[in-house]
Amino acid sequence: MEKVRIGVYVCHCGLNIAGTVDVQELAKYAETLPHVVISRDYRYMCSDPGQDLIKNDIKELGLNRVVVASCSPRMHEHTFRKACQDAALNPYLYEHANIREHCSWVHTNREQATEKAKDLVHAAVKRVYYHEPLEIKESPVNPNTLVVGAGIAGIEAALKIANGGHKVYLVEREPSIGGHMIQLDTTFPTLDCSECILTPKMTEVGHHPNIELLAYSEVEEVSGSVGNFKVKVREKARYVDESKCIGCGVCEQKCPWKVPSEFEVGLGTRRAIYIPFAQAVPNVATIDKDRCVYIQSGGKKCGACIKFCEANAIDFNQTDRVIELEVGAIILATGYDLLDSNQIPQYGYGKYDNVITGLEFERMTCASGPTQGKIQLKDGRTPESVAIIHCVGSRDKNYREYCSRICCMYALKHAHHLREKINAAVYEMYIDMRCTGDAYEEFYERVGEEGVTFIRGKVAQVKQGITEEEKGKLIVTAEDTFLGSILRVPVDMVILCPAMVPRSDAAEIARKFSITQKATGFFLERHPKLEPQATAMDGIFVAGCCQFPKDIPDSVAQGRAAAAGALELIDRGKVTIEAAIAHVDEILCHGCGICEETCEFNAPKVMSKNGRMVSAVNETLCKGCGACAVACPTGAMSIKHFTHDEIFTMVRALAGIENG
Amino acid sequence: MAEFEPRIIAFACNWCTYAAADIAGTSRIHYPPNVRVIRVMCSGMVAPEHVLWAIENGADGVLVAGCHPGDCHYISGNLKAEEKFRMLKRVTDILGIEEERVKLKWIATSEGSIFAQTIEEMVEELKKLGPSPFKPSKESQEAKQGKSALTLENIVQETKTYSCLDCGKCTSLCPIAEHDPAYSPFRMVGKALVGLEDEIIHDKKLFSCLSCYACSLRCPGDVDYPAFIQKTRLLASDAGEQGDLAHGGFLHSVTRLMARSPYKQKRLEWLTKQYRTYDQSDILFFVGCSPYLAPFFEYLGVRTLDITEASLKILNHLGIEPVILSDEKCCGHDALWMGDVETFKRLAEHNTKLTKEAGVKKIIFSCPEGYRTFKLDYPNYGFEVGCELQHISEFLAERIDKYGLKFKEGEVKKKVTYQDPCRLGRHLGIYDAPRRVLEAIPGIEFLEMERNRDWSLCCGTGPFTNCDLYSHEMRIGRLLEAKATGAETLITCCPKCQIHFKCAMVNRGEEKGPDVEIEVMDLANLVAKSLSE
Repeated sequence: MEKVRIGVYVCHCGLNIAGTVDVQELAKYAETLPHVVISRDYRYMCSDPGQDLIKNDIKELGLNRVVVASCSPRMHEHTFRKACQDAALNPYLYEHANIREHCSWVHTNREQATEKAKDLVHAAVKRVYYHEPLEIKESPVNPNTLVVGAGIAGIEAALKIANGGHKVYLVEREPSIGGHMIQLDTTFPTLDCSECILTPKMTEVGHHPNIELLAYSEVEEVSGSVGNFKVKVREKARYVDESKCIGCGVCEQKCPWKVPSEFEVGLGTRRAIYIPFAQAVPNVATIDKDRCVYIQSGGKKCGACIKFCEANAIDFNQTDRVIELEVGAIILATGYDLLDSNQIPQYGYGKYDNVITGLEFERMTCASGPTQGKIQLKDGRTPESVAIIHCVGSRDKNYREYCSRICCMYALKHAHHLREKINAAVYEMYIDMRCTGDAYEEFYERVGEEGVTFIRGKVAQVKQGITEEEKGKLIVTAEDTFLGSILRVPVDMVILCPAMVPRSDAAEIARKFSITQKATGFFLERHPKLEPQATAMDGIFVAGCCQFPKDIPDSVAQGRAAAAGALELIDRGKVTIEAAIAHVDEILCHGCGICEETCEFNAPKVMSKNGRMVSAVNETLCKGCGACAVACPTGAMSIKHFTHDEIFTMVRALAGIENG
Repeated sequence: MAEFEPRIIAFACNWCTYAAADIAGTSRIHYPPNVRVIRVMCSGMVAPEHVLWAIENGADGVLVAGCHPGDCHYISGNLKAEEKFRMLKRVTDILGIEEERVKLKWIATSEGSIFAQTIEEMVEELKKLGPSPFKPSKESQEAKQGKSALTLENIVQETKTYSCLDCGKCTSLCPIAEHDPAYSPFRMVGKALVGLEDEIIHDKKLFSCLSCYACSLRCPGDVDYPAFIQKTRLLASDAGEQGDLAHGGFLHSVTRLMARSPYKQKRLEWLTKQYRTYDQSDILFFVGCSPYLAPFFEYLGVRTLDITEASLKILNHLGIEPVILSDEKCCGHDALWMGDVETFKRLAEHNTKLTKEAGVKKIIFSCPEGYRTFKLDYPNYGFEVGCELQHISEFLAERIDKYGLKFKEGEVKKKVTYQDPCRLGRHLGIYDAPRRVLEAIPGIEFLEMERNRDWSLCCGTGPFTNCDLYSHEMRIGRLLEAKATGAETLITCCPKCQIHFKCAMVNRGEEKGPDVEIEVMDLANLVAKSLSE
């Protein structure tokens, strides 16, 4: 090892340090430490002349290690590392001692503070001896982006990136894009027709030269790291040739097999061959292989679609196709599910007719829905009274503790439609009215003026009317907390506002992309305040309700924010790989796999090499957290810049043994 | 006299606690200057041995601090730290170290005042407790500086290394040399004979020897190679060499602390009312380091106290209520084989004193390392316990032969093979006793491994150092040999053998290594199962 030559620089920081710590004494002390060639003190080390002191000494005195004792490294470690780099010294041959935030600013006794500062400088000098030059590596960023989920958030993300001139692969699990937003009738508070504002975007996506739409497809496997992900996508077989199908819908009319429609949330039916809704993008038919009698009978029965398709688009020989994509960034916009209201039996969902969810009601009021917009009970009559129950499963320790954010607003919206369309008596059974957005509170007031009755009380249960009078009615029981009395409200229809919950396979998605879920099950963002779109995995972003329940404006904003994250990566073109990462001593490694098991980021992997099992660290994935090094039983795994020797030498210097 | 000012070492995570300490600074919140902060990237980067190093090097208190659960920048580093810390606390509790000296706390970035408050409180508590007894005194530091009187020449004389015939047989018999091309007992001896002391002392491979005696047993000369290694490591240790410590040197730190500790240990938590002991008994059962190894090796699925408890159950069943000392310490085996003679002598002195005071006629061991150390090494260094020493397998074999001890029919039915531990086998010549016991248990079908008795292969790790791929390959080979016998269970009668074999079976990567899974069980546990009512 070449002879170590250390330069120590003690900063006065004006009087911030010098006012409490005897900086001259400290610099003199540093001179006495092993391998220290020069020790200086200066008023403001971070200033240009301060940094020049370091650069000149490196050149003229042949320094190969530098220690600065000043403020917190969180302030200026990068400044002095850069100064070293400018003087052609590897920036990792630098060590920082914090004698301001951790010393001069928190202690008052000059003697004690100076003694402590000496210890801190001592430790830094001892440690810097063991520092090794680390290579700063960069890896290029693939300019393509993968967006998973084509609801409003995913669509917005895809469009922003594509309009910026970069390629997007947009993967959507359902046969058509549109997510839940395309199921909605109107949107609060403007009462815009949802389909009207969304379908132009859907069409844009379908035609965009930079967007490769992979609908009816799912991500199978993800590997790689930021800038360089490899993704396997399964394009499921529609048994319809997309290039030939013109979306005329004749096959649907001729198919005899009826199935409850997922799009209509069970309120309507579709056929075994179907286009989910009129404005579907892509506008092609799909055959549900589990319900298609031709497929189930091995080609012996039916086949009506083949007979009637004029475009010859039916292709029962189609198989799933797995393709591999290479992208630099991934945006997850996989959306939400609604809590299954069967889980709350006291509200009668699934038991009584006419207890429906808010989403089902959307399909009912929608002019293109299964009832052509007619609000009706199961027996076809128009309801005269409707109760809308808030917080079904939300704000409830028994189901979901959180507030689902949008239900108060759509409950008001439904109330408005019920008043306007059928003049029904509407009872809003609420705990609080959460109308926090732009023009939301005003909408609440408007709906109140339209004659909706607001009853503050969480509904205990919904029962069927049994008396002659109340036969056929649903009795909603709640305490009106303002009046202090229990109310029984007989209504014809009950609309539930179920909690918004993560997708049923959110855990599997999280595992595939190596991100984590919060306790609520939604995907964990890097920081709830300052980094709501990034995740702990560099290059993987989240947007929309998969991150947490939110309304459309926020989903749009997040989709675009995630796009900005991806565009930042693409624009920069390269990513810097963390240098202080894990390293395997292959002689000490047993290939036991404890490192692989411990790591949250999939960085170490045990593999067979030259006839033995040994661990290897993926440098782009490793974050240098140290968990694997602690878990490694033999000492094979160590973290560069935080080795056993480095920590030990600091402990020795600071614990007191070397100070007698 | 100046008031005692405690020294606290705080390991603070970069993202939360270090930042909190910074915020305390920016907010000018004053706290006592007793703390020295070491910045780590994550509380999960703090290993249990880091805390023990701090104590060994003079810290009166140690604080490990990181982000609150759920906030870790690396997702779960803090939870991993907590798990390791729990194990650490179990060990420091047994050592008798006051709980206020070692703390784990979650301090978020915004909690600068809590950082300051934590330090203040810790300083107050430590002032009341007084200085750590592990603070190295000036005298002990000076003693450490002085080299021992031993020279390589002395060692060559004492261990008869000069009788080497240059034949190389030792290397061809050496199980490490079989795998590690850089290791050769023959070359090591050759260097010693031409006086290359510096080269030998600073050769990491000096710590690869397993002291298994495969070499010296068949050396046509008279070289006691393991003894040569033991003494040469003393010189190496004086020069600061330790090989590549396994488990970060945690176990070595524990032994050193135990040796210097004035605290009364809390080592009998496992001794519940179902076990009978009698402090006037003629027989003493030596427990050794078992209570310390138990929490440490839990992650491997090994509970060394199971062996201790089974042994005690056996003795009780045979009508013996032995003395169990409440403050015995590690026998010092590993310390001695690491060249840390100072620690070894402290432990030997302590254990000799205690066992003599107990006035027993016999000491029974369930661990061959403890047995060998008491029998051969203690007298070598002038410590005489002055009574009979026996391994539990010898004790049982005696009972079977002399007193017709019988085991219950139908309790166990297993095909087993047996690992001769080096310390029992080649070191002390005991091969028959454990086999006698196995033969006597009905339902046991005993299948010998190909390399057995004095040809047995060591389980592969010396004193928790140089635990490298060669040592691992050795063990894989041995386990495959065990499986090849057709046995479903590998019986060991040494807790270290069990630990090292179980470690070799760890296969937690997605891509799996060779399948060497086999049940490993101590003889004592097998016997305990077969005792008649």
